[in-house]
Amino acid sequence: MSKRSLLSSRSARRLYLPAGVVLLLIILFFGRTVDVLSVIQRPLSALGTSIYEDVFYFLTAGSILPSELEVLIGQRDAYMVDQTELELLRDENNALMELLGFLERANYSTVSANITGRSIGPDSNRFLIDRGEEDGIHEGQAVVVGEGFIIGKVLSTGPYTSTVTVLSDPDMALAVSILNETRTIGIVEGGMGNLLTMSFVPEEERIEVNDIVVTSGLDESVPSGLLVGVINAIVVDDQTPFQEAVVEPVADAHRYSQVLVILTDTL
Amino acid sequence: MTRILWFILLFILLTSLELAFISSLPFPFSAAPLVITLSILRLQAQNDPYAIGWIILYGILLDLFRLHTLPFATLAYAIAAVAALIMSRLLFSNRSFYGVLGTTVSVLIVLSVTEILTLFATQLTDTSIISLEDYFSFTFWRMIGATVLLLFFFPLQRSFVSRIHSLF
Repeated sequence: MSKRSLLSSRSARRLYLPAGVVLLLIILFFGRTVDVLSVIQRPLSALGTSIYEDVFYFLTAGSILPSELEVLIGQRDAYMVDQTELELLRDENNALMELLGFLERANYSTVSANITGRSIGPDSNRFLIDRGEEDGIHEGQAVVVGEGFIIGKVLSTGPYTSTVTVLSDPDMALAVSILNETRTIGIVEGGMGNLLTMSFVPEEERIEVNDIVVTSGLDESVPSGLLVGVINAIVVDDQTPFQEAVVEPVADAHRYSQVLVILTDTL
Repeated sequence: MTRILWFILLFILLTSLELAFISSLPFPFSAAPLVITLSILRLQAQNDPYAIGWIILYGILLDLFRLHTLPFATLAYAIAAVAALIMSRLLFSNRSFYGVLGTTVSVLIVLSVTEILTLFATQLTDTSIISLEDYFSFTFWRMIGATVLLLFFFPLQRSFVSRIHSLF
């Protein structure tokens, strides 16, 4: 059957009316439709993430067993949490009792969410979660995993779903603080593959490789003290009075199928 | 009505599989374009022009949830859908595996070119940069992924897919 006859045939005309009705129903109940679909998508996403993690351990394990690597990563994370906690507690003892740190952060209200879809493209740097405005989620809120590692911010929300942008997205910017002597503040940005850059750090600031980077709290809706990553390299340009820190995020969003969203009204 | 329901159910299934499962896999497996490949398989091998609707709806969905790295996914996918229809009718009219593969690869090239053009257009006002090298690598693996998917699904079309076809 040619295209013209197909489009003008009676059967085709019969097709358009129900198609319109079905599409109208889907549009009207879009939020609920997506909510129902997340029941299918959650296990699919969890299965894909599990395969990703297996491949990650297989490729990065080298001469050690995947279980050993997992233990080492766990230890590294624990050390980073301990050190960050220590630094923040030291700050607290010095003067600022109201400084938000990990002890207080534990009191934040969070919403647990499942990842139901991920973006496609050269950098898969967005994902969909099954929680939305109905659960108190708004744009800009911090999304964390594990012991409080920030992996991104809420980009957009619907009634029952939200889209999250991960830190390595080229459009992402996050106010951070380096846990060095002077608590250097700045902004990390994505756009360097899986790494982040912290530009325009004054050259007189003493920053070193392996310094821990946490959120500064200057971002609206993002609490301070959330672990971002560690400084991987420092780029000094003699032509400018600034230096640049390359930050390696602690958490890889691909390795998680569940996240926590920190609710703004509890900050 | 049954036809429409199957059309929508299959679209939901394919979209869920691609966005929830395939995109969670490690690269390059995550680059496999399931929806586009199966749409073209239906369009060309099963002679169903409505299958391009899946490609357009997929683009709309990506824009709706802002799940595409590049902007205006609806536009890019709509152009790809039209290209699929034209190429399957005029250029690769053969229904063989190579015919379907030719259409699929050509449509992926059209999609990539459109996406890159929209990227350049938006970069006039936006400073965010996506590495073109990464993008070409992604496009290459997308074609490989499509070929692998076709190698798997093309032999099935006479049995499994044709049974689905009978429902339409």
